[in-house]
Amino acid sequence: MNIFSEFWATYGSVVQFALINMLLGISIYFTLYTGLLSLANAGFMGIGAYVSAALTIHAGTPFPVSLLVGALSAALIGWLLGLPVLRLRDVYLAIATLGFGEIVRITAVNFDKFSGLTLLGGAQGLDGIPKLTTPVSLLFVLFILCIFLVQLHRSRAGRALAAIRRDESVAATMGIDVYQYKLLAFVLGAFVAGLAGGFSAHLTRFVGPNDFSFSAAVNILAFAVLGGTLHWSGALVGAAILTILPEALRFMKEYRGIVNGVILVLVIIYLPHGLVNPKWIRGIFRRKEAR
Amino acid sequence: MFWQQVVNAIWLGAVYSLFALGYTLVFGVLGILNLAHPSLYMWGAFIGLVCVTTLHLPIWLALPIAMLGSGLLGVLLDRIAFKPLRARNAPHLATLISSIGASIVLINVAQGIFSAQVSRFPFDIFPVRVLKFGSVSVTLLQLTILGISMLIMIFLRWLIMGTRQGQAMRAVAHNAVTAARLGVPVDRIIMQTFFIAGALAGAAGVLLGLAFNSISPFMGGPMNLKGLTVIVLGGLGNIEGAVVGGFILAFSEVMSVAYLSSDLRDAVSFILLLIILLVRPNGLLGRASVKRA
Amino acid sequence: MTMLTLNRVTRYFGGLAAVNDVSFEAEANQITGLIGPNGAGKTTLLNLISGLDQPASGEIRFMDRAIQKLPPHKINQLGIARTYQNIRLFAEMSALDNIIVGMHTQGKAGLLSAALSLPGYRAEEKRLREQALQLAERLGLGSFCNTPADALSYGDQRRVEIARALAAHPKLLLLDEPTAGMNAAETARLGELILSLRDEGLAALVIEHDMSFIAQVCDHVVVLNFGEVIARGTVDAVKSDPTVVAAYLGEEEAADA
Ligand SMILES: Nc1ncnc2c1ncn2[C@@H]1O[C@H](COP(=O)(O)OP(=O)(O)OP(=O)(O)O)[C@@H](O)[C@H]1O
Ligand SMILES: [Mg+2]
Repeated sequence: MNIFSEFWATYGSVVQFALINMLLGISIYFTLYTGLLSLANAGFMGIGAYVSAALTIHAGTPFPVSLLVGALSAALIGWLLGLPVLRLRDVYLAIATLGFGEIVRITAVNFDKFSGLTLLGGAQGLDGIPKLTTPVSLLFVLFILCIFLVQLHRSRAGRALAAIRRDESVAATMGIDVYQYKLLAFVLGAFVAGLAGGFSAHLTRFVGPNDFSFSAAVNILAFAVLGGTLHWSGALVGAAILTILPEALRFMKEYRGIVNGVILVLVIIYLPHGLVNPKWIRGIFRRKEAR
Repeated sequence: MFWQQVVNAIWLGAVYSLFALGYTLVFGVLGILNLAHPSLYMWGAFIGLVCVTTLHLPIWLALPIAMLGSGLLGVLLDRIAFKPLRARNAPHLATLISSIGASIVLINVAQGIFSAQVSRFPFDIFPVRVLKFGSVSVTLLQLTILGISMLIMIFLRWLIMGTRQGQAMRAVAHNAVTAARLGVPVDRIIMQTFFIAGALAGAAGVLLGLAFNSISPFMGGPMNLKGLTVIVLGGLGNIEGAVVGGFILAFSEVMSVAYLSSDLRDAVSFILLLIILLVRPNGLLGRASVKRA
Repeated sequence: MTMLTLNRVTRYFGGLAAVNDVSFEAEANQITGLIGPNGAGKTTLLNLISGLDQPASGEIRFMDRAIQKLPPHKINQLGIARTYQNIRLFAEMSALDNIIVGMHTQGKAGLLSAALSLPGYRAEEKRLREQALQLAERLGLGSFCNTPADALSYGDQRRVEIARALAAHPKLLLLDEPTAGMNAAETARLGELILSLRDEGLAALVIEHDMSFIAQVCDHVVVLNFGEVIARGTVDAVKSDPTVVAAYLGEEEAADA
C-alpha cells in the first residue's frame, strides 16, 4: 500500500464529509450574503436526503437523477416556504425558519403512518442506502458550484444581492426587486442544501429524522460565519476547518458543540467578517495583474 | 373532559407565559432576540435540581436559588455575547448569531456536567395530592405552579409599571441614547433586564421540571419554539401580549392533543407561529408595549 | 408638460403632519427647487415620491400614472431615481461598482447566461461598464473609480451617489441636499452639470438650503414650511414673498433665542 491509499483509508471519509459540509456552507452563504438569517437549511438538507434516498431505494433511479430530484424538491419546498416568510424582516425571518427543521422531522416520522406507504421509515429512518457518493462526484459538483459563484458575483443578480445586504431600501430605489432576489437566494440555498443532503445520505447510507434538527442548522451556520460571508470561499474554508480540526484534535471532537458555540460568539464579536476577507483576495489578484 | 382540558391549559399557559416574559422583556428593552433564553430556562431547572438532590434543600428554597443562578447567568451572557456587539452597533444578524452560539455553549456545558440523560426530581419532593372539583381533578402541584407563576407575573408588572427601575427600563426601551442623556444608568438597567429575564426563565425551568419531572440539557429546544410562538403571538416586546400568548398556545396545544392527535402537538406551535407571522407580524395586541407604556 | 403631480398629499408621524395637504407640479425639462426650514417635510416628501414611504392620503402622479401605492423598485423602473441627504452608498464597494449597481434596470442578462458566460451576458457587462466609466468621468470621478466609496471625500461621495442615480437613466432625478459638504468650486460645477442634464431632457426636483445654488439651477421653486406649501413660483418671486421671509426669519429667531 502506498502512502496515498493509506491516508485515504484513514481519512477518506473525513475528506468527503468536509466536501459535503462545504456544500452546506455554500448553501447558507447564499442567504447570509443577501443579509438574510435563515435557519431552514438543515431542513432543506433533510428533504434532499430523504427524497434522493427514497428514489434510489424504491425506484432504483440512477444516482445523479436521485440527487437532482432531491435537490429540486428542496428548492421547490424552499420556494413555497420563501414566498410567505421572505416578506418578513430580519428577526422575524429567523424565527419563521427556526422551526422548519422540526417540521421536516415531524413529517418524516409521520409520513408513512399517515400515507400508508413504506417510504421514509418513520422514526427508525431509512438505512441500507447504497453508497454511491464518491469523492470525484463531490469534487465535480463543488467545482461547478464554485464557477457558478464566481459568475454570480460578476453578474447583475450578484450585484443586486450584495446591494440588498448593504441597504435594502436603497437597493429598492435603484430598481432592484428586493423580494424576488431574496427569493432567488433562498431557493438557491435550498437547492444546494438539498444536494448536500443527497450526497450525505448516499455516503453514510442512512437518513434519520433527527439529523436535521436545530443543532444541525447551527453547525451549518458556523461553517459560513467562521469562514466569512463576504466571499464564497469563506464557506469552504469554514467548513473545512470545522470538519477537519475535530478529527485532528481529539479534545475538539468531544467538545465539538462547545467549540462551535464559542467560535460563533468569538468570530461574530472579534472577526465580524470571518476568516476570509475579500479585500485580501482582491489584493492577491491585483498583485498578479501587476506582474 | 372539556373542563379538565381547560384546567390543564391554564396552569401550562401560566408557565409558558412566565418563560416568554423574559424573552419578550429583553426584546422590548434592547431589541435583541436572545435565542439563548431557553438555555437559561434549562440551567434554572438544573440548578433547582442540584439544590434539591445534592444540597438537600427544600423545593421552596431551591426555586429562588435557581432564579438567582439563572438570572446571574443571564447577566453573564449579556456581558460576553451581547455587550461587545452593542458597543459597536452591530447589525441584528450578528446579535442573533452570537445568541445562537451562546446557547450552544450553555447546552453543551450542561451536557458535560449533568450528562445527556434525563434527570428527575425525587418523588417525595412535593406532596402528591389530587383535588377533585366534580369531574375535574387538579394536583396540588399544578395549583402551586399556577399560584407561583401568577405571583411572579404580578410582581413583574408592579416592577415595570410602578417603580423607578421600571420607569428607567421603559426609557431605555424607548431610546437608549436619550435615556443616557437624561441620566439613566443605561448599562445597569440592561444588566437588571437580563437578570430579571434570566430569573423568569429559571423559574419556568424549575416549575416545568417539577410538572413533567424531566430535566435534560435539551429541554430548551422544544421550549424555544413555544416561547417564540408565545412572544410573536403577543407581539415582540409586549409584556401583556406574552401572558395572553402563553395561554393561547397552551390552549391550542392541549385541545389539539385532546381532540386531534398527539402527533400534532409539536407541530401546533410552529403552525401557529407561521400563521401569526404572516397575518399579524406585530402580534395580536399590536405594537411593542414596553415602549408605549 | 407636467411630469410629476402631487395632489393633496399628506403623511403623519404620530400626531405630527410632516407633509400636510401638499399639491404642486414639476414640469418636464425643468429643475424644480424644494426649499424650506429644517423639519419642513422635504425629505419626507422625497420618500413619498420614491416609494420608500406611503402617504396617508392624496395622490402622486408620474407621467400620468398614479404611483403612490407602487413599491420603490417599480417607481425607479418608471424613471425616478434619487439621492439621499445622509449619503447611503454601498460603503465597501468601489465607486464604479456603486454606479454599476445603479444600472440594474439597464441590463437584462439572466442568471443562466451569466453562469454560462454567454456572449450576450459578456457584451452587456462590457456595455454597462463602459457607460459607468463615462458617467464617472462626467462627474469628475474618473480617478476614483476603484476607490471604496467610504474612503472618498464627502463631496466625492455625493457625486458618486448622483452618478449612481443617473445610471438608471431616469426621467426625473430627486436630489436631497446634493451640495451639502461640497466646497464652492464643487458646488458650482454641480450646478453646471445639472443644467446640462436638463438641456439633455432630464427633469429634477432638488432640495437645497444653499439659495445661490437654487438661484443658479432652478426654474421654479416650491417652499415648504411645517409640511405645507407656503409659496411657489420663480426664485426671485419666492425670495421676496413675505410669508417665505417670515418662515425663514422665524427659524433664525428660534435659533437666536
Ligand atoms: N420616520 C419618522 N418618524 C417620526 N417623525 C419623523 C420621521 N421622519 C421625519 N419625521 C419628522 O417629520 C418632520 C419632517 O422631517 P423631514 O426630514 O422631512 O424634514 P426636512 O424638511 O427634510 O428637514 P431637513 O432640512 O432638516 O432635512 C420632522 O419634524 C421630523 O422630525
Ligand atoms: Mg431633509
